[in-house]
Amino acid sequence: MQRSRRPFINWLTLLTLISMILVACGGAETAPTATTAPAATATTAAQVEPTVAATAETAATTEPATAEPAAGEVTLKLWHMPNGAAPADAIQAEIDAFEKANPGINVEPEMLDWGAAFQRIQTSVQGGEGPCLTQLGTTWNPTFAAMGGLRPFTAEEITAMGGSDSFVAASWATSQLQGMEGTFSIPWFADVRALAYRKDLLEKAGLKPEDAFKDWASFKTTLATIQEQNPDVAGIAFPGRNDWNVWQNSSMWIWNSGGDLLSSDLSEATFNSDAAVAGVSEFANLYSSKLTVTNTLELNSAQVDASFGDGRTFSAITGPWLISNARTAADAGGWTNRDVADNLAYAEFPAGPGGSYTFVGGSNLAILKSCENVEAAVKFVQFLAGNESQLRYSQAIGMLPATKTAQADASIASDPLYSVFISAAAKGKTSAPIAEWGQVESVLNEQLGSLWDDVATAGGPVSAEVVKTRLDQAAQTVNELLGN
Amino acid sequence: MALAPKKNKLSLWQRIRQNSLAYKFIAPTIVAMLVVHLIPIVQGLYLSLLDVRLTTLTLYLKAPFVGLKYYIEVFNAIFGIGEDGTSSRVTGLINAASNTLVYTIWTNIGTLGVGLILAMLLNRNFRWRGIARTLVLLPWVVPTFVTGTIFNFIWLEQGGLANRILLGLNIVDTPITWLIGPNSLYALVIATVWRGLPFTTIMFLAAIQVIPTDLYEAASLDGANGWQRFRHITLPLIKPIAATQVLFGLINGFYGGYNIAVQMFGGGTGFAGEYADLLVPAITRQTWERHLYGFGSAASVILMGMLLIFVGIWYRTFRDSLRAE
Repeated sequence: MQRSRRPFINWLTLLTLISMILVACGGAETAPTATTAPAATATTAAQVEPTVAATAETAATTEPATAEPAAGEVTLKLWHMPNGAAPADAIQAEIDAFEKANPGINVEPEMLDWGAAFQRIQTSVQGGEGPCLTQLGTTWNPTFAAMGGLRPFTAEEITAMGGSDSFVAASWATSQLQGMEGTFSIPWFADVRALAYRKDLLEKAGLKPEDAFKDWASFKTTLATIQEQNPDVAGIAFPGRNDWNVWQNSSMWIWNSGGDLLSSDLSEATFNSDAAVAGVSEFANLYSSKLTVTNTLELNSAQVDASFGDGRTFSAITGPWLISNARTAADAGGWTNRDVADNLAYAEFPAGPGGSYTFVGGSNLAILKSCENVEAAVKFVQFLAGNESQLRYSQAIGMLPATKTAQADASIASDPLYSVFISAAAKGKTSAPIAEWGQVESVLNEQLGSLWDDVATAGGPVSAEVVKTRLDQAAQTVNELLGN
Repeated sequence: MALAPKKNKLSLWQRIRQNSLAYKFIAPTIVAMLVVHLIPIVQGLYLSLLDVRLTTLTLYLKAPFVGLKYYIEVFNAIFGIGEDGTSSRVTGLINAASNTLVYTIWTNIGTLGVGLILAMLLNRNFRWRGIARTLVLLPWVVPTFVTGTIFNFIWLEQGGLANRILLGLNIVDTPITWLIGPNSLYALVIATVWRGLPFTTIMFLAAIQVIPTDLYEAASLDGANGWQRFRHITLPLIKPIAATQVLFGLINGFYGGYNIAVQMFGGGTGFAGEYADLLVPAITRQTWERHLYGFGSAASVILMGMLLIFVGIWYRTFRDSLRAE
């Protein structure tokens, strides 16, 4: 009796499992067609997102041949990060334009979170499998180039994009690797820092921007004056310890003070030099001089932007993305109904005793070594580095284009807000093109982050010794990591 | 009596055959566990003996063998021994280790203490008991990353919920800075306790519910007051459950805190500052951001060893009550 029942139970189990698998597969297959078919009448429904349904429809009607993957067709995988407020729409617009101009090449985008992207790319470089193309944070280029994971661009390919001179110098520097010939990625867009401020409050104080933000001394006087006149408004807000930008914002004070992050041969830390210590102390003591938003040290970039948008602060260290906030309607999440929208202005970073420099970051495009469709990938990079795409994409995501031609375009150059970033970018400085940069950055973020703890708990100005101790510790670690 | 010895005569293989269907069912799980647990553990142990860095990462397991170099380095960093004191490549580990200890102690006191009180309250008969029991479970369904994000907003100095309540009730005069400075460790502890409470509460509630009520009745007849009944009946009888909770607490304290810390401070940078930096975030950050993979493996193995010592102490302490169960 028992023996005869066992096979039955076995069969029943197997049958249940198979039916479950079938149901699961069936569900996955039928669901998308049911939802997307009415929107996109074409057979491309499978790869169409609801937001781009309209574009796909027109593409399908004009080019019915491309609707089904035909022989000789190439599919490029692209990894990108959430750039701008509507990242998927922004990249899809570029892909649509490219695919229209290049029938036979399909681009499949995949969005990676910034926090996970580095490890994903690293894993794919290590395992030899991954997308053809990827976006890289500018500081990541040397790391992956040193790992041998990136396919260098040839001289002809670069010439076809207008040559290295057609890119902003600071951005182009991020495509190189010290000690190795070659260009491992192409600058895509630039993230340039500047000082956003409220021009109505500045006018009320009877100050002119060229005087108010001329140097550190005049800058501090300006902040104090504004605070005095407007008790509810703080002088400045900047992201404190809880943000990725800790080293980037501090570096501008180091550069402007006459210091530098690394020695000229990039082999040794110099961010603990006297000039650098003076610069960082100046920055740190904005807080103890009570010229900042009281909680600025615990804020991240988004929270700083929000406090500027709410009118709680007169100025903020930030980037060009606030322009799109100011110009976006309130019901779409913008600021058009706020005081700040009409009164947003930008100034270059105040000059210090060592000059006036601005941090330039952003992102590059790289082709991974494992890419099998290099020719198509190069075409897509060239398209994205082209004038039309540079202008459209950078404005869609609120960044600056990486090419000089696009920056010189009337829509940017004659825009009173964007133009500040163009002249700031010309004085741009950035991370060093060494494989160990990620490590330098990590150490700096740790010690500068701890310095913000010191500042918050000091109850008064922090001495240069405290700053020096932190930077000395960081320098010792960095030097050891650099092999000294 | 006659059946028992007969059963024992079956060999292991025969018993497996007898229950073959059950074994078939668990076979995929066993294979999956081997693949996702055992192989990575062995790889991790081996990796800790290799010089895997940025430049040698593509070699992976073929990277140069360095033996116990990283173990010595981490020991030097944690205990401050060695020729030149500490190795500066590995920074802040002593600090993170002491933070982790304080964090583990406080999160355990918090979850066990408050959990027990909540369980006893929920065991009483009152009108909205069902709803209250459900509400207590709420933090459990919130993912730890979300918990971190929520508490980032709660702790904000300006406009954060915590300071609004404290100011509103006139408990403090000026807003407290939670996310920076010495308070940050306690901000992390409170968020962790909030997330961990439902589990301990439910476990304690289950333990209290199986205590026979006649014990309490007999004690009452003998004139025992509420505290005495708790001290001499409830506490001894829930000790085995409490022991298990302490074990979970130890493991969670040592390995936990990462998701909450990463989201609450740093928006992804993973650095909670010197006051609230824990071991796992510190090791993760230094391994991945500084590309010291061999070191990271060694540090993780040492952390595991440290935890095993604590688990050993735990076992010795609670051995008797575990056997009693």
